[in-house]
Amino acid sequence: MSTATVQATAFEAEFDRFAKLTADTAPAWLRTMRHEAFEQFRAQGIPGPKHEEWLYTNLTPLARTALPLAPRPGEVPTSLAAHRFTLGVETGPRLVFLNGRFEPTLSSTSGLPDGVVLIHGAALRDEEHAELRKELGTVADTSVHPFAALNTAFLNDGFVLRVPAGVVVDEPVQTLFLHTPTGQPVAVHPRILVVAEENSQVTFVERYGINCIGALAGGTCFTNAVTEYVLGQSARVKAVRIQHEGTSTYHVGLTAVRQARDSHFDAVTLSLGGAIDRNEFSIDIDGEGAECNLAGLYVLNRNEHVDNHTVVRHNVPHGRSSQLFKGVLAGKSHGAFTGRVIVAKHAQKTIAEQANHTLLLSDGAVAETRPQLEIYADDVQCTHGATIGRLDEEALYYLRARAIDPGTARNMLVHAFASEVTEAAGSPQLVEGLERLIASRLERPSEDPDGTTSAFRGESPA
Amino acid sequence: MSNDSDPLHNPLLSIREVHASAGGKAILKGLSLEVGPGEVHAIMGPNGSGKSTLARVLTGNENAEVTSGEVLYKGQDLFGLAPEERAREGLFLAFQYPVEIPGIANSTLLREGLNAMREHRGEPELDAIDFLEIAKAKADVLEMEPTMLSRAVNHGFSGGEKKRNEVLQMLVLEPTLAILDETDSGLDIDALQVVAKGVNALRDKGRSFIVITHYQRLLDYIVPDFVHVLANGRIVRSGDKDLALELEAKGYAWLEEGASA
Amino acid sequence: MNTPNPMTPAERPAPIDKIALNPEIDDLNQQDYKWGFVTDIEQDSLPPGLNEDTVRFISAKKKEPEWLLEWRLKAFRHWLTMTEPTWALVDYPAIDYQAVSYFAAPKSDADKPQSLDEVDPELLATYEKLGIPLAERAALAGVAVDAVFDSVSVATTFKSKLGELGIVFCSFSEAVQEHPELVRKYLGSVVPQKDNFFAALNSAVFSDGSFVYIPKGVRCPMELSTYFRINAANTGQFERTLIVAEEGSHVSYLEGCTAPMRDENQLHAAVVELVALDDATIKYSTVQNWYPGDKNGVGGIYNFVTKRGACRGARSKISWTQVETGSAITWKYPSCVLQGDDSVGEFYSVALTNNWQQADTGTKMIHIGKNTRSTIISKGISAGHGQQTYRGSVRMLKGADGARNYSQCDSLLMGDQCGAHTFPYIDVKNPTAHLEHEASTSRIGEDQIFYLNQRGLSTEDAVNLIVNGFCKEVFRELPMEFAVEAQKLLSVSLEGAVG
Repeated sequence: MSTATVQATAFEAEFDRFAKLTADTAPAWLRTMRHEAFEQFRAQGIPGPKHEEWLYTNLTPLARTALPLAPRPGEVPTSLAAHRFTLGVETGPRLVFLNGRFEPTLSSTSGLPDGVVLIHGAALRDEEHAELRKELGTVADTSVHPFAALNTAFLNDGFVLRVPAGVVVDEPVQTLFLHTPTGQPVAVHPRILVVAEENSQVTFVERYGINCIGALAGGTCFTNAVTEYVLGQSARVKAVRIQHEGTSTYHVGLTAVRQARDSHFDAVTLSLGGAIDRNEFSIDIDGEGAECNLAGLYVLNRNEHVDNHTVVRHNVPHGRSSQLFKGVLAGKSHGAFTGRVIVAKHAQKTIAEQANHTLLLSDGAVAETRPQLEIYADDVQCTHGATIGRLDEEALYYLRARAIDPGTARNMLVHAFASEVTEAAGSPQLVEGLERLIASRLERPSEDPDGTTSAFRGESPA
Repeated sequence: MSNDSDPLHNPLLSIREVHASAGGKAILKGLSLEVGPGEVHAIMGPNGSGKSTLARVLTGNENAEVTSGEVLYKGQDLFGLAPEERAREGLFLAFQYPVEIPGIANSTLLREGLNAMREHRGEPELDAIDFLEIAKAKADVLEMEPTMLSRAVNHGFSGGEKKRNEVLQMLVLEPTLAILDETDSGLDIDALQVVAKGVNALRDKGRSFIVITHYQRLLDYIVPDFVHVLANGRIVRSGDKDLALELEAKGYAWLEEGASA
Repeated sequence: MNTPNPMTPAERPAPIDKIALNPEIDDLNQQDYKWGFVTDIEQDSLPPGLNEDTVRFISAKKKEPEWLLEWRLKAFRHWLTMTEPTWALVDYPAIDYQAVSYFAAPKSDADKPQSLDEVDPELLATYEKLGIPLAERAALAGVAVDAVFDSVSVATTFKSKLGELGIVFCSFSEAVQEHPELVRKYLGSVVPQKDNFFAALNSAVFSDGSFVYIPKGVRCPMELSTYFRINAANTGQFERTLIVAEEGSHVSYLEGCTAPMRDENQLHAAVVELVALDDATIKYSTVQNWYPGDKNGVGGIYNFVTKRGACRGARSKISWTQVETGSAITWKYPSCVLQGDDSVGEFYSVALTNNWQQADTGTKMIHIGKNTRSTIISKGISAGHGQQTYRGSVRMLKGADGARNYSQCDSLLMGDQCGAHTFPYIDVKNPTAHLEHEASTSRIGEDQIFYLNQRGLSTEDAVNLIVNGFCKEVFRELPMEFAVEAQKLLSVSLEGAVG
C-alpha cells in the first residue's frame, strides 16, 4: 500500500461478521471468491486524493466509518407506484431491490423472451448456478478497483441476466435499487452481471434511488455498485444508468464491460445528485470492429460532487469508441471528469473520440476535467476536447429578444445542452423518460423536497 | 498500332504483358497497351476489372505489386523509377480519391512539385511571385477562386472541389502523360464540363492522356482517339470513340461474353 | 467530506515511501567527500558527490554573499527530504545523485580536439546540414580556437549600448556581484527553492546562468540571446536564469543550443524565472537540441527543467515558445502565473521524440487575476521508439472573472513503435471563465506521402513539408532566424524516421 491510500480498518470487523453470518448459506466457490476479494481490498486500501486515479474524490473517511450492511426492511412501502421508476416503460420486466435485497412483491419478471435466464436474489448462491463463475467477477478487475473488491467480498444478492445467442429482448429490463431509512449509516453492495451472447440484443436500465419519494428518501448510505457486461460477437447492448440517491448518499459505481468482435455497447449515464458520486466505466474492446459509445450527463447543485471516470482500452485493431460527458453545475457543486483512452500497440485503425463539456451556473461551482489519450499505435484517429463555461450570453439575449423570460430562456438552453446525451438512449420512450427526470431536476421545485432546483433557474451569475 | 522500331511512331508509353496483384489477389493478368505522343486513350470497364490498379502500377504505388511484365516510358524502364522520379519525368495521376493533407497549402505543394520538376529538367526555380501568377491563371481556367490556392491540400474540400483541384494541379504541372482515374465520378454536368475544359486546354501533339472512366458521358467532352475495354485484368477490346457508345448501349456483359469467347 | 484540491503535477509531492537513496551508501559517500576538499578551496573541480560542503564550496568559489549561501543551503536541506517525482510517463534508470559532479571548471584547451579533423564526422555533417558557418562549427564541436564566438562576446559587444538604456544582461554570477539587491529581491520569487525536486536541487547547486533586467518603460532594442552559452560552459548542467521586466518594458530572449552535443548520460536541471510587472512583455524562445542519445538509446541528456513566469502586473504578458528536439529524457513545463488583471500567458511548443527519446512536457497556466487570457499550442511528433506525453494544467481560480483559455494539443505519429499521450488537467472555479481544449492524434499516412511523391516530391521532402505544416502555428511565433533553424533541426532530427 502506498501513501496514496489508507487502510480500511472499519471494514475488517464488518467483513468478519458477514463471513460468519453467511458461512452456511453460501457455496464454497462464493466463499472463496469473497475471501480473495477482501484480501485484495485490504491490500489496496481506500485510495486518497493523492492517488492519480482518485485525484478528485476523497473517500478515505469511509476507512474509519463503521458501515454495517443495510438491514432487511421491516415493511415494504406500498407507496411505490410503478410509474415512479419505470421511466414510462411499464410493460417490461423490472426488478426492485430494497436495502440491497431482491424484493419480489415490487418486481415483475414477466415479459422476457424464451431462453433468457434471469437469476436474482438468493438463487445467485444456488449450486445449480455454479456456471456463473465463468463470467462473474471476470470483467471487473478487483486487483485495481478496491471498491469492486469490497463489493465482491460482500457479494450475497444481485442479479444476472443472460441473453442467449440470437435473442432480441424488446422491452428494456429495468432494475431499481432503493434503501429505506435506518437511522444509522449503512452500506449496500449491489451486483449485476449481464451476458449478451452472440447476436443478441438487450436494453438494460439500472437505477439507484429516487428523488421526491418521501418515505424512501434520506438515511445516510454508502452504495457500492458493480455491474459487469460481457458482450459476445455482434451483440448489442444499450445500458442506461441513473443515479439519484440524494445528498445523504456516497455512491461508488463501476461498470465494467468486455466486448467481443463487432459488438456494440452504448451507455447513457445520468448523475442527478449525491453527496459523492463516483461513476466509473472500464471498457475492454477485445474484438475487432467492436464499438462503444458512452454518454453521460451530470446535473448538480449545493455541495454535490460527481466524479465521472472512464477508461476505454482498445486492445485490438479496428475498434471505435466515443465518449461524451456533459455537466451542469449550480450551487457549490463539484463536477469532475477523467476519461482515458488507451490504444494498445497493435490496435491500428482505432477511432476514438472523447469530449467533456461543462456549464457553470454559479459562483461556487467547480469543474475539473482530464480527458486523456494514451496511444501506442500509430495508425489511429483520436481526438478529445473539453470546454468549460457559462451559458452562451448571445443565445440568451437572442431568446429574450424573442420575448422569452430569462428563466425560461436559461432552461431552454440548459435543456438543449443536455439533450445530446439523453438522445443517446435511443428508444423514444426512454429518451422521454430521461428528459422528464432531468426536467424535474431542473424545473419543478415542487417535486424536489429540498427545494434546490430553483438554483438551476437561477439569476445571472454576474 | 506502332512498334518501337518505327521512328515516326515511337510510343510514349508501352505496357507489355503486365501482371499485377493487390492485397495478394491477381488483378492485372497480362495487360498490354501502347500510348503514342498526343494521343488520348480512354479505358473503360466494370468495377474490379483493374482500372485503378493500372493507374497504381504506372505511378508506382506500393499497394499494387507487379509480378511480371514491363513498362517502357520514354524508352526507359518505368519500374526502375521511384514515384517522384516518374512524376518529374512528366507522369501525372489525377487521383480517384485525392488525399487530404492538413497543414500544407495547395500553392506550397504545387510550387514544391513544379520546382522539383524544373530542377530535374535543368530549369531555374520559379520564385513565389512568378509561380503565383501562373497558378492563378490556371485556377481561372477552371473557374476556381484564387483563395483555393491558400487552402490546405484537399483538406475539407467537397468531392467536386477535390476533383477540380486535381485538374488544377495537372494544369500547373503540365505533364507529358496524364492519367485521370475516374475524375468524372461524382461530378455534376457543370463540373464535368469544367474538368473537360481543363483537360482539353492541355491537349497538344506532345501530350498524352489515359482517361479511366466508368461512364461514356465524359467522352462526349474529352473525345478520345482510342477506347479500350478492360475486363478481368486484360484489355478485351479496343476501338475508337464509337466503342464507348456501343458499350453504353449494350453494357459490359456483352463484352465479357466476348472476352470468354 | 471535503473535496480534495487536486494539485498540478509539478506541485504534487512524490510519495515519501519511494525515497530511492540507500542511506548506507549515502553515508559512505559522504564520508569520502568530507575529507576530500573542504580545506582545498583553490581546486577547480569537485569529485562526484553532494552534501552541504559541496554547496558551500560552490558558493565560496563564486564568492557569494552569506545570504545566498544560506539560500542554497535551505534549498539543499529541503531537497534531502524530497523524492524524485514518478508521475511523469518517462522511464529511466535511477539517477545516483552522489555520482554526479556538481562543479567542474571548463575543460582545458589541451583536452579538446585540436582541429576539426579530430571531430566525429557524423557530427560535422549535421552542422553542415544546419548551415552553421565553418568557424562556428569548430566552436560548437569544442575545438580549441582562439576566437570563440559565444554569448559572452556577444554580450560584451552590445553591453555599452544596452547599458545606456539601463538594461542589465550578464551572467548570473556577475549579477550576484554587481546587482545583489535585484537578485535578492527576485531570486526564488517565482520558483521557490521547495517548488519541486529538481528545482530544489538546482537552487542548491546552480553553477551559473543569465540575468536580465529591463528598466521601466524600456523596449530592449535587440533580441537577447544565449546562443552558445551552454557550449562555452561545459559544466552548465544547473543553470539559473532570471529575467525581470519592469513596468511597460519589453524584451525578447532567445536561448538555444542549436547543435547536438556528444556526451555521456548527463543530468541537466535548470531553473528559469521570469517576472513581468505592469504592462511588461517577456518573450522567451528556446531551441533545445541537447544530445538525444544514439540510435540505440545510449547516452543523451536527462533534461529536467523548471521554467515559470509570473505576470505580476496588470496587462503584462509572458510568452514561451519552444522547439525541443534533443535530450534523451525531457521533463519540462514552462508555466505562467497570471496574477495581474488582464495579463496574458502563451505557450507554443514543438517537441520531437525520435529513436528512444522520451518527453513528458507541457505547461501550466494559472489564472488568478481578472480577464486573464492564455493560449496553449502544443505539437508533438513521435517517431522511431519515441514516447511523448503532453501534460498540461489550466487552473482558473475563484477570482479569475472572465478568464479565457484556449488549448490545442496535436500529436503526429510516424512508425508503429512510438507513442503519443495527452494528459490535460483542467480545473475551473469561476463560472465566468471560459475554457476550450482540443487535441488530436494522427499519423503521416502512406497515402499522403505517395500523393506528394506523385507530385514530384521526394519522400524526405514530403515528410518535411507535412511536419512543417503541422508545426507552423508554433514556428511563426519564433524570431525569423530561429524559425528557419528550427525547421532544419526538425528535418535533421527526423532523418530516417520514414521509409
